[in-house]
Amino acid sequence: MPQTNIDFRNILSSGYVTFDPGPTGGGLLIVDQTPYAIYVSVPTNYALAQSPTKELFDRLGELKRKYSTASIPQSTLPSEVAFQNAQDFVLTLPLNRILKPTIHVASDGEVNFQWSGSDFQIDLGFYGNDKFSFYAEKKGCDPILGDEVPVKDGIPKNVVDFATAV
Amino acid sequence: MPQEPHRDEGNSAAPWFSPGLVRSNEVILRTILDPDHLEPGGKLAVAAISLQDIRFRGWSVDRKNYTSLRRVKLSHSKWKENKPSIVRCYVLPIPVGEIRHSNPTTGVHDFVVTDEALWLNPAHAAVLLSGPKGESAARGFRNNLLQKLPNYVDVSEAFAPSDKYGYLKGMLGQFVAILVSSFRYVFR
Repeated sequence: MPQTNIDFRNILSSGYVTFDPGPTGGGLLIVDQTPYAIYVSVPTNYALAQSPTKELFDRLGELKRKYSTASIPQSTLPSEVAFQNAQDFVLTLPLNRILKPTIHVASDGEVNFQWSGSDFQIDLGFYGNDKFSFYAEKKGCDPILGDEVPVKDGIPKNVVDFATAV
Repeated sequence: MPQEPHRDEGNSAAPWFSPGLVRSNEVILRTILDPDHLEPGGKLAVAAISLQDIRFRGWSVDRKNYTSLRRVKLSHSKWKENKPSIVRCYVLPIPVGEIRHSNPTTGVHDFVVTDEALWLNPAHAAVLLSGPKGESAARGFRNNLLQKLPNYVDVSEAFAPSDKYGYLKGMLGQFVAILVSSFRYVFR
Protein backbone atom coordinates (compact mmCIF):
# COMPACT_ATOMS: atom_id res chain seq x y z
CA MET A 1 0.00 0.00 0.00
CA PRO A 2 1.49 3.39 -0.92
CA GLN A 3 2.42 5.52 2.10
CA THR A 4 3.23 9.17 2.42
CA ASN A 5 6.41 10.94 3.47
CA ILE A 6 4.82 11.65 6.83
CA ASP A 7 4.46 7.91 7.43
CA PHE A 8 8.16 7.43 6.74
CA ARG A 9 9.11 10.14 9.15
CA ASN A 10 6.95 8.56 11.85
CA ILE A 11 8.34 5.08 11.29
CA LEU A 12 12.01 5.92 10.84
CA SER A 13 13.45 8.15 13.53
CA SER A 14 16.79 8.00 11.75
CA GLY A 15 16.54 6.69 8.24
CA TYR A 16 18.98 5.84 5.51
CA VAL A 17 17.46 8.62 3.46
CA THR A 18 15.19 11.48 4.35
CA PHE A 19 12.15 12.21 2.25
CA ASP A 20 11.19 15.81 1.82
CA PRO A 21 7.54 16.40 1.07
CA GLY A 22 7.25 16.83 -2.67
CA PRO A 23 5.58 19.92 -4.12
CA THR A 24 2.84 17.74 -5.47
CA GLY A 25 2.55 15.80 -2.21
CA GLY A 26 3.45 12.54 -3.90
CA GLY A 27 4.83 9.64 -1.88
CA LEU A 28 7.17 6.71 -2.55
CA LEU A 29 6.15 3.08 -2.74
CA ILE A 30 7.21 0.63 -0.06
CA VAL A 31 8.45 -2.42 -1.93
CA ASP A 32 9.44 -4.49 1.09
CA GLN A 33 9.49 -4.22 4.84
CA THR A 34 11.30 -6.10 7.63
CA PRO A 35 11.33 -5.42 11.36
CA TYR A 36 14.42 -3.27 10.90
CA ALA A 37 14.36 -1.95 7.34
CA ILE A 38 11.90 -0.44 4.92
CA TYR A 39 12.73 -0.73 1.24
CA VAL A 40 11.25 1.92 -1.01
CA SER A 41 11.18 2.56 -4.70
CA VAL A 42 13.20 5.74 -5.29
CA PRO A 43 13.21 7.63 -8.61
CA THR A 44 16.58 7.32 -10.33
CA ASN A 45 17.08 11.09 -10.26
CA TYR A 46 16.27 11.36 -6.53
CA ALA A 47 19.08 13.11 -4.62
CA LEU A 48 19.91 11.06 -1.52
CA ALA A 49 20.74 13.23 1.43
CA GLN A 50 24.01 12.56 3.23
CA SER A 51 23.32 10.74 6.46
CA PRO A 52 25.35 8.82 9.05
CA THR A 53 23.81 5.61 7.72
CA LYS A 54 24.92 6.38 4.19
CA GLU A 55 28.40 7.25 5.42
CA LEU A 56 28.64 3.91 7.19
CA PHE A 57 27.35 2.11 4.09
CA ASP A 58 29.97 3.93 2.01
CA ARG A 59 32.70 2.87 4.44
CA LEU A 60 31.53 -0.75 4.28
CA GLY A 61 31.56 -0.56 0.48
CA GLU A 62 35.08 0.84 0.54
CA LEU A 63 36.28 -1.95 2.84
CA LYS A 64 34.54 -4.59 0.75
CA ARG A 65 36.46 -3.45 -2.32
CA LYS A 66 39.71 -3.12 -0.42
CA TYR A 67 39.52 -6.59 1.11
CA SER A 68 38.35 -8.43 -1.98
CA THR A 69 41.80 -9.96 -2.49
CA ALA A 70 44.24 -11.42 0.03
CA SER A 71 47.24 -9.23 0.72
CA ILE A 72 48.43 -9.72 4.27
CA PRO A 73 50.21 -13.02 5.02
CA GLN A 74 48.10 -15.58 6.92
CA SER A 75 45.04 -13.38 6.72
CA THR A 76 41.44 -14.41 6.12
CA LEU A 77 39.26 -12.21 3.97
CA PRO A 78 35.89 -11.17 5.37
CA SER A 79 33.00 -13.08 3.83
CA GLU A 80 30.25 -11.51 1.77
CA VAL A 81 27.85 -12.45 4.58
CA ALA A 82 29.99 -10.62 7.16
CA PHE A 83 29.61 -7.42 5.15
CA GLN A 84 25.89 -8.06 4.65
CA ASN A 85 25.46 -8.64 8.40
CA ALA A 86 27.34 -5.41 9.10
CA GLN A 87 25.11 -3.54 6.68
CA ASP A 88 21.94 -5.00 8.21
CA PHE A 89 23.28 -4.07 11.64
CA VAL A 90 23.85 -0.47 10.57
CA LEU A 91 20.15 -0.27 9.74
CA THR A 92 19.34 -1.20 13.34
CA LEU A 93 21.56 1.50 14.84
CA PRO A 94 19.75 4.48 16.37
CA LEU A 95 22.16 6.94 14.77
CA ASN A 96 20.23 9.89 16.07
CA ARG A 97 21.36 8.86 19.57
CA ILE A 98 24.55 6.84 19.27
CA LEU A 99 27.88 8.14 17.99
CA LYS A 100 29.04 6.89 14.63
CA PRO A 101 31.40 3.90 14.93
CA THR A 102 34.68 3.48 13.08
CA ILE A 103 34.73 0.34 10.96
CA HIS A 104 37.77 -1.79 10.17
CA VAL A 105 38.55 -5.28 8.96
CA ALA A 106 40.78 -7.57 11.03
CA SER A 107 43.14 -10.15 9.58
CA ASP A 108 40.89 -13.01 10.73
CA GLY A 109 38.01 -11.78 8.56
CA GLU A 110 36.14 -9.84 11.23
CA VAL A 111 34.24 -6.72 10.22
CA ASN A 112 34.76 -4.67 13.35
CA PHE A 113 32.79 -1.72 14.73
CA GLN A 114 34.56 0.38 17.32
CA TRP A 115 33.24 3.19 19.45
CA SER A 116 35.80 5.04 21.53
CA GLY A 117 35.34 7.90 23.93
CA SER A 118 37.15 9.41 26.85
CA ASP A 119 35.32 7.15 29.29
CA PHE A 120 33.89 4.30 27.20
CA GLN A 121 34.84 1.64 24.66
CA ILE A 122 32.64 -0.61 22.57
CA ASP A 123 34.10 -3.38 20.44
CA LEU A 124 31.64 -5.29 18.26
CA GLY A 125 32.18 -7.51 15.26
CA PHE A 126 30.86 -9.83 12.59
CA TYR A 127 32.29 -13.02 11.12
CA GLY A 128 29.44 -13.76 8.74
CA ASN A 129 27.30 -16.19 10.74
CA ASP A 130 24.32 -13.81 11.06
CA LYS A 131 25.40 -13.11 14.63
CA PHE A 132 27.69 -10.69 16.41
CA SER A 133 29.52 -10.44 19.70
CA PHE A 134 30.45 -7.33 21.64
CA TYR A 135 32.22 -5.98 24.67
CA ALA A 136 31.29 -2.59 26.10
CA GLU A 137 32.78 -0.77 29.06
CA LYS A 138 32.24 2.61 30.59
CA LYS A 139 33.92 4.22 33.56
CA GLY A 140 31.90 3.59 36.70
CA CYS A 141 29.75 0.88 35.07
CA ASP A 142 30.04 -2.89 34.87
CA PRO A 143 31.15 -4.12 31.44
CA ILE A 144 28.45 -5.52 29.17
CA LEU A 145 29.26 -8.59 27.08
CA GLY A 146 27.30 -10.44 24.43
CA ASP A 147 28.02 -13.50 22.33
CA GLU A 148 26.10 -14.88 19.36
CA VAL A 149 23.58 -12.06 19.28
CA PRO A 150 21.38 -12.29 16.17
CA VAL A 151 22.10 -9.38 13.81
CA LYS A 152 18.42 -8.53 13.57
CA ASP A 153 18.30 -7.89 17.33
CA GLY A 154 20.66 -4.95 16.94
CA ILE A 155 22.71 -3.32 19.63
CA PRO A 156 21.27 -3.61 23.16
CA LYS A 157 19.81 -0.41 24.56
CA ASN A 158 22.09 -0.35 27.61
CA VAL A 159 25.11 -0.47 25.27
CA VAL A 160 23.69 2.42 23.24
CA ASP A 161 23.55 4.41 26.46
CA PHE A 162 27.33 4.01 26.82
CA ALA A 163 27.99 5.81 23.54
CA THR A 164 25.06 8.11 23.40
CA ALA A 165 25.61 11.29 21.45
CA VAL A 166 22.92 13.36 23.15
CA MET B 1 37.16 -25.18 17.43
CA PRO B 2 40.83 -24.75 16.54
CA GLN B 3 43.46 -26.82 18.31
CA GLU B 4 44.48 -25.62 21.79
CA PRO B 5 47.55 -23.43 21.33
CA HIS B 6 50.82 -23.50 23.24
CA ARG B 7 50.40 -21.11 26.18
CA ASP B 8 53.27 -22.28 28.38
CA GLU B 9 55.80 -19.51 28.93
CA GLY B 10 58.05 -21.93 30.83
CA ASN B 11 58.59 -24.17 27.81
CA SER B 12 59.35 -23.35 24.21
CA ALA B 13 56.87 -24.37 21.54
CA ALA B 14 59.87 -25.22 19.36
CA PRO B 15 62.81 -26.24 21.58
CA TRP B 16 64.79 -27.45 18.54
CA PHE B 17 65.00 -23.92 17.13
CA SER B 18 64.79 -21.79 20.27
CA PRO B 19 67.55 -19.44 21.38
CA GLY B 20 65.86 -19.35 24.83
CA LEU B 21 62.61 -18.59 26.60
CA VAL B 22 61.13 -15.09 26.38
CA ARG B 23 62.21 -13.02 29.36
CA SER B 24 60.12 -10.22 30.86
CA ASN B 25 62.88 -7.64 30.36
CA GLU B 26 62.90 -8.19 26.58
CA VAL B 27 61.27 -6.03 23.94
CA ILE B 28 59.14 -7.59 21.21
CA LEU B 29 58.32 -5.96 17.89
CA ARG B 30 54.98 -6.24 16.15
CA THR B 31 54.82 -5.13 12.53
CA ILE B 32 51.65 -3.35 11.46
CA LEU B 33 51.09 -4.23 7.83
CA ASP B 34 47.63 -2.92 7.20
CA PRO B 35 47.68 0.90 6.83
CA ASP B 36 43.97 0.95 7.61
CA HIS B 37 44.78 -0.06 11.20
CA LEU B 38 46.94 2.98 11.88
CA GLU B 39 45.11 5.69 13.77
CA PRO B 40 46.33 9.28 13.93
CA GLY B 41 48.54 9.99 16.93
CA GLY B 42 50.37 6.67 16.89
CA LYS B 43 47.59 4.47 18.20
CA LEU B 44 45.99 1.45 16.54
CA ALA B 45 42.47 0.44 15.62
CA VAL B 46 41.06 -2.45 17.62
CA ALA B 47 41.06 -4.56 14.44
CA ALA B 48 44.87 -4.47 14.38
CA ILE B 49 44.76 -7.37 16.84
CA SER B 50 42.68 -10.20 15.50
CA LEU B 51 40.66 -12.24 17.97
CA GLN B 52 41.72 -15.46 16.24
CA ASP B 53 45.34 -14.53 16.92
CA ILE B 54 45.03 -13.83 20.63
CA ARG B 55 42.62 -16.73 21.19
CA PHE B 56 44.12 -19.48 19.04
CA ARG B 57 46.88 -18.73 16.54
CA GLY B 58 49.13 -16.42 18.52
CA TRP B 59 49.75 -12.76 17.67
CA SER B 60 53.10 -12.96 15.90
CA VAL B 61 55.94 -10.81 17.17
CA ASP B 62 59.73 -10.73 16.84
CA ARG B 63 62.04 -10.66 19.81
CA LYS B 64 64.24 -7.63 19.30
CA ASN B 65 67.20 -9.40 20.94
CA TYR B 66 67.27 -11.97 18.13
CA THR B 67 66.49 -9.91 15.07
CA SER B 68 67.98 -6.83 13.41
CA LEU B 69 66.92 -3.77 11.49
CA ARG B 70 68.14 -5.31 8.25
CA ARG B 71 66.25 -8.56 8.87
CA VAL B 72 62.96 -6.77 9.71
CA LYS B 73 63.34 -4.45 6.71
CA LEU B 74 63.88 -7.47 4.48
CA SER B 75 60.59 -8.99 5.66
CA HIS B 76 58.83 -5.68 5.11
CA SER B 77 60.21 -5.44 1.55
CA LYS B 78 58.81 -8.87 0.72
CA TRP B 79 55.38 -7.88 1.99
CA LYS B 80 55.50 -4.63 0.05
CA GLU B 81 56.32 -6.54 -3.14
CA ASN B 82 53.18 -8.61 -2.69
CA LYS B 83 51.01 -5.67 -1.79
CA PRO B 84 51.94 -2.37 -3.47
CA SER B 85 49.40 -0.46 -1.37
CA ILE B 86 51.66 -1.01 1.66
CA VAL B 87 53.84 2.08 1.53
CA ARG B 88 55.47 1.96 4.93
CA CYS B 89 55.62 -0.68 7.63
CA TYR B 90 55.53 0.42 11.22
CA VAL B 91 56.40 -1.52 14.33
CA LEU B 92 55.30 -1.46 17.94
CA PRO B 93 58.22 -1.91 20.32
CA ILE B 94 56.49 -3.58 23.27
CA PRO B 95 58.18 -4.37 26.60
CA VAL B 96 57.26 -7.98 27.44
CA GLY B 97 56.87 -7.03 31.09
CA GLU B 98 53.97 -4.74 30.13
CA ILE B 99 52.06 -7.61 28.55
CA ARG B 100 52.84 -9.98 31.41
CA HIS B 101 51.81 -7.45 34.01
CA SER B 102 49.12 -8.94 36.27
CA ASN B 103 45.58 -7.70 35.94
CA PRO B 104 45.02 -5.45 39.01
CA THR B 105 41.47 -6.78 39.43
CA THR B 106 42.10 -10.51 39.13
CA GLY B 107 45.78 -10.72 40.06
CA VAL B 108 46.52 -13.04 37.15
CA HIS B 109 48.21 -12.55 33.78
CA ASP B 110 45.71 -11.89 31.02
CA PHE B 111 48.27 -12.60 28.31
CA VAL B 112 51.32 -14.80 27.86
CA VAL B 113 54.31 -14.28 25.58
CA THR B 114 55.63 -17.62 24.38
CA ASP B 115 58.72 -18.62 22.48
CA GLU B 116 57.65 -19.87 19.02
CA ALA B 117 61.01 -19.90 17.25
CA LEU B 118 60.96 -20.97 13.62
CA TRP B 119 63.64 -22.39 11.39
CA LEU B 120 65.76 -19.39 10.28
CA ASN B 121 63.57 -17.11 12.39
CA PRO B 122 64.78 -17.58 15.96
CA ALA B 123 63.13 -14.32 17.04
CA HIS B 124 59.58 -15.49 16.45
CA ALA B 125 57.31 -15.36 19.50
CA ALA B 126 53.57 -15.15 20.11
CA VAL B 127 51.21 -13.20 22.32
CA LEU B 128 48.16 -15.16 23.46
CA LEU B 129 45.43 -14.98 26.05
CA SER B 130 46.57 -16.92 29.10
CA GLY B 131 43.59 -19.27 28.89
CA PRO B 132 40.61 -20.13 26.68
CA LYS B 133 38.15 -17.24 26.48
CA GLY B 134 34.88 -16.61 24.68
CA GLU B 135 34.65 -14.12 21.84
CA SER B 136 33.16 -11.23 23.82
CA ALA B 137 35.52 -11.70 26.76
CA ALA B 138 38.47 -11.79 24.35
CA ARG B 139 37.29 -8.42 23.02
CA GLY B 140 37.59 -6.98 26.51
CA PHE B 141 41.12 -8.33 26.93
CA ARG B 142 42.02 -7.05 23.48
CA ASN B 143 40.95 -3.55 24.51
CA ASN B 144 43.05 -3.76 27.67
CA LEU B 145 46.04 -4.92 25.64
CA LEU B 146 45.63 -2.07 23.16
CA GLN B 147 45.71 0.45 25.97
CA LYS B 148 49.08 -0.93 27.13
CA LEU B 149 50.68 -0.77 23.71
CA PRO B 150 53.12 2.00 22.86
CA ASN B 151 52.73 4.19 19.79
CA TYR B 152 53.79 2.70 16.47
CA VAL B 153 57.10 3.96 15.10
CA ASP B 154 59.07 3.62 11.92
CA VAL B 155 61.12 0.44 12.12
CA SER B 156 64.43 2.33 12.03
CA GLU B 157 63.46 4.10 15.27
CA ALA B 158 63.07 0.78 17.06
CA PHE B 159 66.72 -0.23 16.73
CA ALA B 160 69.90 1.28 18.15
CA PRO B 161 73.23 0.84 16.34
CA SER B 162 74.22 -1.67 19.03
CA ASP B 163 71.32 -3.95 18.00
CA LYS B 164 73.03 -4.75 14.70
CA TYR B 165 73.97 -8.32 15.54
CA GLY B 166 70.66 -9.49 17.00
CA TYR B 167 69.82 -11.83 14.17
CA LEU B 168 73.29 -13.34 14.20
CA LYS B 169 72.96 -13.91 17.93
CA GLY B 170 69.58 -15.56 17.36
CA MET B 171 70.93 -17.85 14.65
CA LEU B 172 73.85 -18.88 16.86
CA GLY B 173 71.33 -19.65 19.59
CA GLN B 174 69.31 -21.67 17.13
CA PHE B 175 72.38 -23.59 16.01
CA VAL B 176 73.21 -24.44 19.65
CA ALA B 177 69.60 -25.48 20.28
CA ILE B 178 69.68 -27.83 17.29
CA LEU B 179 72.95 -29.37 18.48
CA VAL B 180 71.74 -29.81 22.06
CA SER B 181 68.41 -31.24 20.94
CA SER B 182 70.18 -33.65 18.60
CA PHE B 183 72.46 -34.89 21.37
CA ARG B 184 69.52 -35.30 23.71
CA TYR B 185 67.66 -37.25 21.03
CA VAL B 186 70.62 -39.56 20.32
CA PHE B 187 71.61 -40.18 23.93
CA ARG B 188 68.26 -40.37 25.62
